[in-house]
Amino acid sequence: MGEVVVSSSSEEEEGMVVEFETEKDIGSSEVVRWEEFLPRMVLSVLLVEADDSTRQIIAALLRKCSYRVAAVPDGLMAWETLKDGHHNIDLILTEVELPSISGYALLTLVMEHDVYKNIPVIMMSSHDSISMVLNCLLKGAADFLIKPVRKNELRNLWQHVWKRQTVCFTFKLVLFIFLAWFVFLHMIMEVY
Amino acid sequence: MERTRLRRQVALTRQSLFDQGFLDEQFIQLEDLQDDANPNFVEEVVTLYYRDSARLITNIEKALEKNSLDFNKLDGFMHQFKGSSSSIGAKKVKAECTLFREYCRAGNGEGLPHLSVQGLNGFAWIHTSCRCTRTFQQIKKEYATLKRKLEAYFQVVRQAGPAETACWPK
Repeated sequence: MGEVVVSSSSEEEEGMVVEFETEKDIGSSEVVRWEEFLPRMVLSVLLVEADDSTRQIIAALLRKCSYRVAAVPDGLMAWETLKDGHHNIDLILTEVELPSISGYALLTLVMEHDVYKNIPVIMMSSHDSISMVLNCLLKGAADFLIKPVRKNELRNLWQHVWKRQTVCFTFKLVLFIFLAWFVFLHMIMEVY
Repeated sequence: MERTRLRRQVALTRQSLFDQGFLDEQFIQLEDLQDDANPNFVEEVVTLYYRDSARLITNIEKALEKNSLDFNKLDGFMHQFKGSSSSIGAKKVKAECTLFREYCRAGNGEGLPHLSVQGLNGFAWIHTSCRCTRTFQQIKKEYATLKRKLEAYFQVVRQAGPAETACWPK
C-alpha cells in the first residue's frame, strides 16, 4: 500500500496552501496518505512497453491509480507522442528494452532536450543489473522499477512530478521576490 | 441452484490453479483490474499473451534448430518470453524459463558453476545445448497445459455469468 508517514511543515505558495499533518494529529495507529491533502492534479503518463500484455496491464494499473495514460509499444512512437504536444505529458514510464530505439536512448533524447528534460523519466526492467540501473540513474532517470511492477509503486509516481514542480516553483518564487525587492529598492532610491 | 453450483465450480477451478502452482499472485493483480468498465480484462490479457507468445515460441524453435546455437539470441527471446509470462502470473512457465536462461548463460561460459567450460569445451557445449532443448520442451509443455486450464476456467466463468469471479479475502 502507498501510505507514508509525513512530518509536519506548511508553506504558502501563491494561494496554494500545502499542509502536512503528523501522525500524532490523527491517531497514533493511523498512517497519513499524502495525496488526500495535496491539491488534486491529474497526471498524464507516457507508457512505453513493447510486450502487449504487459503494456495492457500496466496501463490499466496506471488508470486505476487515476493517471491519464498514453501507451505506445516503442521508443520512436514515444518520442513522436511527446513532440506532438497533444497529451501534455507529465511523466514518462519506459521499459529499458524496446524495439527501434531503446529505453536508454529515449532517456538520452529526453535529457538532452531543453524542454522535455524536466519531465521525470522512470525506467523499468525485469533485469536487476546494477550497472544498468546506475547507467540510467546517472543519465538522469528519476527512478528504476524492477518488474513485475506493483500498483503501490505506480501510485507513488506522482511524487516525482510534484518534487520537480515544487523545486522549479520555489526557485521561480525566490527569484521573483528577489527581483521585486530589487525594483522596490531602486524606486525608493529614485524618490530620494 | 445452477447458479450457485457454477459459482462454486469457478471458485474451485480458480483455487486449484493456484494450489497446483500454475498461477501466482500476479494473476490476482489482473483480477483486481477487472471491473464494470473492463468486465473481461483477465481473459483479454491472457488471450493477448497467448497470441504474442506463440510468435516468440516459433522464434525460439527456429533458433534451436540451428547447428550452432546463438546463446545470446536465445537468451534475448527467452527474456522477453519470461517477462510476458510473469506479467500474467504464469508461475511454472516462468520457472522453466529461468532454468533455460541459466543454461544459455552456461553455454556462454558464465552461469552454473558445475558446468565448467574449461578443458571440456566440446562436451560441455553439447551438454548445454541438449539441456536447452530439453528445457524448452518442458516450457512448451507447461505453456500448453496452462493454456488448456485457463481456457477451461474462462469457459466456466462465462457459464456462471457476469460478476461471478470469486473474490477471495486477501
